[in-house]
Amino acid sequence: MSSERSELPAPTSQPGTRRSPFGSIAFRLNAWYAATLLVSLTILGALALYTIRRAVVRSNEVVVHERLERHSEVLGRVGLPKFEEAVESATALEGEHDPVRVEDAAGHTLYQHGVVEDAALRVSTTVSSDLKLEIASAANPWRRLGPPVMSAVLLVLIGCLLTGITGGVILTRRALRPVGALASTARAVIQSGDLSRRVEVRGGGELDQLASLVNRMLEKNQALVRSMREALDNVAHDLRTPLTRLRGIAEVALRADDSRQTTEALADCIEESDRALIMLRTLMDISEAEAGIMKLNVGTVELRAVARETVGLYEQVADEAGVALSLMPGADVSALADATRIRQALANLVDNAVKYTPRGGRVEIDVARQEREAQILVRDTGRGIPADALPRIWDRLFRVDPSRAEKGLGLGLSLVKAIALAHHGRVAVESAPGRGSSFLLALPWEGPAAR
Amino acid sequence: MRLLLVEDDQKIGAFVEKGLRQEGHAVDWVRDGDESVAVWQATAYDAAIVDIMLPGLGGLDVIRAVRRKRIATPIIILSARDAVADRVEGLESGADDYLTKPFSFAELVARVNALTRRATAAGAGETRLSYGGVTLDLLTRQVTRDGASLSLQAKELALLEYLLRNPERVLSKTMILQRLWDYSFDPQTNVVDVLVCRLRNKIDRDFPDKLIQTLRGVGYVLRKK
Repeated sequence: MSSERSELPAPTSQPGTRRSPFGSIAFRLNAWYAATLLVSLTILGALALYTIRRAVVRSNEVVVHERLERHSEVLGRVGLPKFEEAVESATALEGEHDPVRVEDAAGHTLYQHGVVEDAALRVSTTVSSDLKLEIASAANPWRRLGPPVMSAVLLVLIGCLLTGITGGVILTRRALRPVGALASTARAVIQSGDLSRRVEVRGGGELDQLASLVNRMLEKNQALVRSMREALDNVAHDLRTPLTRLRGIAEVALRADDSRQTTEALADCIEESDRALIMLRTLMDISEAEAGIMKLNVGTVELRAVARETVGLYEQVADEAGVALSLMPGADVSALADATRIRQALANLVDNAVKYTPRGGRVEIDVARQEREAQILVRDTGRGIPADALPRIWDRLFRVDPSRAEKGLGLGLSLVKAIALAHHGRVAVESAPGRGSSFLLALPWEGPAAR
Repeated sequence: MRLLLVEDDQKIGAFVEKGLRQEGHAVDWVRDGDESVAVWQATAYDAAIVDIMLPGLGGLDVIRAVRRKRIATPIIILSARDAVADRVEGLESGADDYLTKPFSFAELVARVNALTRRATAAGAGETRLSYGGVTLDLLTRQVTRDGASLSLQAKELALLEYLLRNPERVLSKTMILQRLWDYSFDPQTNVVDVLVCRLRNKIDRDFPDKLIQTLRGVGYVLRKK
């Protein structure tokens, strides 16, 4: 179907993925940061200038008022002529003196030093009933102080802006470095298909957490791909034997001149290809389960009912073999599982047990509920398994006695184990050679979803 | 019966067509999805066999298109995919049965027969089945051969009934397994072989004419020599 074809890897070099320097997160972050810094520093500078200016003006007013008070006190004490003298001598001494004017009650100027009318700040007070003193501040102090203060503030602001922007650039660089590493690793994986590459993780920040998560994902992918590849290799290897046999039979049939022989050979071919097919299916099942990708159709499964069905399936076989096959009485046990897979696993266990139990023996199935497990136990009174073979019986294509002409693929127990693992369950075996074996299939009863 | 075969693979198509002709059916073989819809609309078929992987319109799309036109022909899907999800998707598209490649031809024939029989709904209401001197009374579950009474176990009876209902038709092991035990996978030991052997011991051993015949690699058939 076409849906499968669309899963081809997409071409990796797309022009849109090339990064423009102005579109990068780092650039935009820095631009925004610099703009914000500029605006806030400008506001800060204006505020500082305004405050300084106000303070200067206010302090000048205070100084002028104080001086007015002092002058008025002196004027009141010593009288106008002496006052005039004092002002003049002070002017001579200091080179300058703020403008002063003294007027009488009618408003006629009695004495004047400098020009009071032009000054920016004028204050006056009544010294006595007929004398009024007015003094002014000669210069606006801000005119003198303003320029150096402004240039100082500007210098500080530019310094702050430069430091801020430089710091911002360095910080974003550092903060975004994991993203760059992530992107370059991802690009390398996509381009080379090399799943062994990893992102370098430096610290424990959010981006580093992301990087280590990506690493874990890559690890999981790598493991999956590896197990799939191994499974494929195994399948290819295991299928060679039946296919070789098939080819051999066909070749012999071609040379046979007797039509009976040909018919026999053709029947052999069909049987052999069926065997290969079953083998392929079983191997695929095992591989899928081992790779953790076996699809399970999970529902509530009544294990006792499954056991009863299996007894029904093998009734005749056991009867022919002279083996008593029975299900031990007990309570119902249900588990969350794939019913078909469990039937398949149990059928394999019972199949083995009946096959390896001599005439007159017994095979018993027991279903029980342990603490967190639903268990199926298959006990036989068969010949048992030698201790040195015991750990290997779950391996695919392993046979206790390879020379025996028992029918079967040597995959039964591997499949049982694979099905158990797919359900997050387990298998176990105990055996006493000569007395019998007992196989356990245990499923977590809350189902395969709960790890 | 007139059958439509939609299959793009030359070898599979040829062998299915030839086999079905030998079974006495008229077969129209179409190799292309788009063409098949047109052919299907022009002719009334008793059943259709549709491969899923087709050039042009896919098999499932063909089935959907035909069902939308209210054509009720029984359909069997042939597919190389064996997942439950594929099976469900196939049946949901409007097909009646699903067969995985590689398949046994006997099984395909049996399924075609089953579908067309189901479609014509015949053969109901019988109380006695008999063939070649073997008689099974469905009410009393009594079995006789040439008048002599035989004693059969439940599963043996079920197998005999299945054979008697399909005389001279090949039944594969898979079909028997499914019908008698409702098992869809192959257990390792051939459970079916054992049961057939037991039934044969009761039905055929003491009689000169052997009725239950083995077609090696294919299945079993109830047939007079």
